[in-house]
Amino acid sequence: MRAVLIAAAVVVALTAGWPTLEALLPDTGAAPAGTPLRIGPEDDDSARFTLGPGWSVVRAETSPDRSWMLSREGVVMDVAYLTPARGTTPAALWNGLRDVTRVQDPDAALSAPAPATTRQGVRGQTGRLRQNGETGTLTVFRSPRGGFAVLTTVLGGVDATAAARAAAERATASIAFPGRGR
Amino acid sequence: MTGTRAAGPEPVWTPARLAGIFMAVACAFGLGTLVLKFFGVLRVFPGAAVLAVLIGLVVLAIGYALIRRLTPVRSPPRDPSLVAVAWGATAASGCALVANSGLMGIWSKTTSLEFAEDWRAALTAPLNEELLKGAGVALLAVLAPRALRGPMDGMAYGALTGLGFQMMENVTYALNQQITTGGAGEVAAVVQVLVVRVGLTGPGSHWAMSAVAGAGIGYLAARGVRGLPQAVPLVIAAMAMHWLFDAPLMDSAAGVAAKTAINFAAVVALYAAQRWGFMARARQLLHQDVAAGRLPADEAAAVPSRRQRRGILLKTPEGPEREAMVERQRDALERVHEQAADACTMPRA
Repeated sequence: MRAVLIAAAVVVALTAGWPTLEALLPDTGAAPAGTPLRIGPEDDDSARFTLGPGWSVVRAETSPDRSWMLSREGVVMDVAYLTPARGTTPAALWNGLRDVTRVQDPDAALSAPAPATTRQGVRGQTGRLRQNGETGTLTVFRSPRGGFAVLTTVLGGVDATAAARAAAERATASIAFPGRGR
Repeated sequence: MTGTRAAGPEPVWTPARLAGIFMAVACAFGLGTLVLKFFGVLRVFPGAAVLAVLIGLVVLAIGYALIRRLTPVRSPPRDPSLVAVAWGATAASGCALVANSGLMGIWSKTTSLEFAEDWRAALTAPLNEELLKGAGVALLAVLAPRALRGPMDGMAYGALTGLGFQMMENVTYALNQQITTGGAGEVAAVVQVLVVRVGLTGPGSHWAMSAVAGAGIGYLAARGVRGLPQAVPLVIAAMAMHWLFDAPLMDSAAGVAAKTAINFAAVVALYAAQRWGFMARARQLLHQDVAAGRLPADEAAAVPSRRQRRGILLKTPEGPEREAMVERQRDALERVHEQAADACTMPRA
């Protein structure tokens, strides 16, 4: 009987204990303003983006290799590192991203893509997104050699301020590919 | 984990029944957690999901057959083997999803983002996953005490638990890959993940780690708390193997292959040592059977080998003589399995 109790206690303690402890810790911290932030696993395979003041980083959902989850005044911005297969056309990638937006919400709607350009001059695609009752934009830029891409998803509800949406646009436009990259 | 049977009617709430109920609940919880977590991906990318599951099942079937065949003398019984795989694929995988998310969140919230990025997997998965998989082997030892009697059995059921976990993890990685590739190229994304996780890292992954931890649980099954001096180092060794796999060290393809080779070598070395001990003890027991007149010498020589057992049966004419031989083989196998299970405890001469 003791063995059953110990084994069951281990399973319950790990499964319930860690999430409970995690929930007790504060989730956000101030994101550094004006400092280029890395998104991507290695220097040559990563991009940089810069935030203005006022952004918070959702630490539990952020890993610089793959994704930054940021929030400001009712706006949530996810900056994610993608690795589309080489040869994926912009149209195929946009259709794929439309599918991805439906993973969280089957009724998500992504508009047809429009051209987007970073301040560095990298061209990409952007569109309007409605997901989980919130609205915003989805923008994707391929690295110069096409080996990876950076995706920003900006969403906000009725409480999202125009200033925060504009700040998200500026952060998106700041995406740069400094390394030789893939 | 060892115990004596009390005289009189069996109580309703036996340890085996409680273990079975808890395992069933945990498997249902784990499966439900996995389905909830990946429901959206399954709905949007059904082709990728079906392909990942199909490939996963093929790999699982091959691994399942290999592990059972490599268990010396006789394969582990089917039912506990399937319970071990099911625990790994559902209970351990689903609970690990929740537990890992919690502990990784703690690392992210309490250390720098860069440190958490590099180390949170290595500081989370070895602890959570080895304990969750190992708990299943421990519960199985209570649920099916005749099937899991020592470290060699523990290795087999540990490997099967790890194999189930590995299969489910491969499927979930393949599903996540749909997101990280931007949803374009479902099949390519699945194949890319499975080639790496089956072909490159598979030989040294969860099945190997859990086999080592399972041997430790097997010592506890055989010796109770007196097995702790063997069990604790083996479970820690399994965690160390897992840590090596997840640590941000040797990240190149050659480095990952080296990590896989190290883990594979570790489990092969442990297997060889356990198998040698088990077979030596089995031959000793069979020799005693011959000396006591319970078994003819030629039949005793054939008992440790599946092929030779079958061969000597086929050479015997059908009828009562063969039936008697089948009976003698069955008794001898049961005796060997029972008394050689803890191979390090040699009988007195």
